[in-house]
Amino acid sequence: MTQRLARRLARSPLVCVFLLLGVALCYAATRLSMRTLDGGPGPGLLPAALGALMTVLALWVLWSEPPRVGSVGSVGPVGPGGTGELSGAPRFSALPTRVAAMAGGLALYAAVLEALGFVIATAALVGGLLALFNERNRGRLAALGLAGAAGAYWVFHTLLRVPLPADPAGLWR
Amino acid sequence: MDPLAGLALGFQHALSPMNLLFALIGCLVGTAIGVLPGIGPVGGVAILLPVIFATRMDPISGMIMLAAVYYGSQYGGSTTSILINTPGESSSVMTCLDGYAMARQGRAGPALAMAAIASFVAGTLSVLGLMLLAPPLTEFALRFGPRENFALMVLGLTTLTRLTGAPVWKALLMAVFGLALGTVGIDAMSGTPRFTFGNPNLLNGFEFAVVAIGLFALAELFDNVAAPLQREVFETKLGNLWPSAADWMAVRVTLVRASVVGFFIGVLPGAGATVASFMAYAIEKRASKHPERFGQGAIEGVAAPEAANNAATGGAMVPLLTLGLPSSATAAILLGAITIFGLRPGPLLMIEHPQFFWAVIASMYIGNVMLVILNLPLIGMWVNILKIPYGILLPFIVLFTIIGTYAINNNPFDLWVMLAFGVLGYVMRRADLPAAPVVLALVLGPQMETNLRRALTISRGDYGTFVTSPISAALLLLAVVSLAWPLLVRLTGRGRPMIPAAEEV
Repeated sequence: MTQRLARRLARSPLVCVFLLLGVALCYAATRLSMRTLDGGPGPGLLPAALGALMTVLALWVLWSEPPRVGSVGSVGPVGPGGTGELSGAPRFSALPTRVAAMAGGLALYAAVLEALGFVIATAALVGGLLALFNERNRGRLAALGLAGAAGAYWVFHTLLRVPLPADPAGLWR
Repeated sequence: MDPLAGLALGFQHALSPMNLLFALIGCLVGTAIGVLPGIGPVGGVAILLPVIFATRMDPISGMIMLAAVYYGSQYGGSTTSILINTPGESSSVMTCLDGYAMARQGRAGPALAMAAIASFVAGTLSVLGLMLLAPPLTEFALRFGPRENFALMVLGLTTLTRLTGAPVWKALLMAVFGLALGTVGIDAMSGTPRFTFGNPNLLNGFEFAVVAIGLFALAELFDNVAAPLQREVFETKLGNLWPSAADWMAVRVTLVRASVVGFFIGVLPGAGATVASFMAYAIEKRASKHPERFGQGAIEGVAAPEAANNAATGGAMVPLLTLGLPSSATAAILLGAITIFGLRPGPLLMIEHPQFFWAVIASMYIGNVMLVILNLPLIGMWVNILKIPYGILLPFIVLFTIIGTYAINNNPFDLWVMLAFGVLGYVMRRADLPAAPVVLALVLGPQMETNLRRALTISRGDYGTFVTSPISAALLLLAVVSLAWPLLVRLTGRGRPMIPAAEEV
């Protein structure tokens, strides 16, 4: 029985994360008061209950559900000529390189956005993603990235007054 | 206010040139969102909401635009289903079966036109239903106190977990996770910071729009880049759009039946457009004298799911506008929008802000007319958009997610939150964990906690208060039944899965 649980823990890493999160939530909630001065429920009551519930549910999911690796949200081609499946996403074996590159690009973007300003940072990100996903002329893709970033800045910041970080060098206002 | 007077007031506001323009923009943007793979209605509405708020748009105009995006996206999803056999979002899955078959037979035009007409008929009928159902439901909901509101929210969450298509315990785990996320930040009743870890960016908690953009839009984009980016658009002539007389005869009952089914499924908390489209298709196939034609290019197979998913969108507005209870993730974003605009969702919305309530309903009539007038001639344009290589489109969709996220608080921290939830959403999809309950619980969580604590304070800590009120007891009983239903079905051995393993939005 213990071996079975251990096997499932290893095969459902995300559910294990939620299991740990539930335990951590229970522990953290105990540091908050459970009752207010007038005897009403305190700020720790619901988090403690949710932590306990999350732990129980995560254990139940690990125990009762056979580990599956299908996708929920992705709907691939269906019907005549299609795969006939609703879940068409790749398996959860390793994080695909393109996903990792895109996530890394977005992390870098979040780190430098305010320092470089919207247009330069966005042109670099969009240009980079265009180069990542297309085999075309890199110069044209970079120009498209810059045009897209400048155009978006003009539409959202200048026209619609959506606050976006200005270029520190004052090129884009 | 009686419904007709209310509707007249609504049309006064909705027919102003500015609001007509916003409805038009919303319809076009929504259709584009539905057409484009990689950005569904939840992500689209979540991205647009902060932009709309940042532009300081009037609440009526803002809500008209967001609602137009919502039902426009339902319409747009059918175009990709018919032309490339890939649904723009999960509620268009069933349209693929007969729509794509019709396209292969050289009848893409009538299929696209029927999708538009069915959406229009269903949208109009559902708005009629909304108009008739909303006032009595509002009156009933006025009797609700904290304990009834708490019980209603519990019911909303449990029914959603039952209907996401994912295993119920996994959906429930995700709902609890969403509720836990909702506890982050300063506690509204005591002023105590909770789980902020000394980070001032977390004092206001997680923005539901940022979480929704991450879990839905960004996760979907990650999902798409993990797969081959090439998509084949079926080359077909769209010259003859108008359905034949035989087509009209075949769908005359289908349109009404699927609209009614879709509307009532949309009203149910937790059900929504995807479930509605599957059920309408199944019912239509069962009612047909020639069920063998379904899947081979039967026009009823296009009309039924398209009518049902649009009617469900109207139906979803009933609990949203009258009870403040979203029945899907997109409706949860709209609920958040009402709060962001400074209005109080729930039964008092109709009484305190009748112009807002009725203008949104009137705009749905107008939006449905706009969609059918605009989209039949614009089908060629949507097809051309589909032909743009996805590798070119995708970075620009990423750009919109960034703008939508940054516009909320003008804080790069939100980009980190979006990225974190994007990666989490991507991994969740692979672990078969649905994202819709997380967003719904995050939106409902703070209200649910406030109502729970108010009820317990009033009852001096007596938990029995939730079962001494007949309304609250009935709602909680329904919540238990909705959770226990799969077990009961399994025990009786009569259950057959009707709901797809695709996430309801």
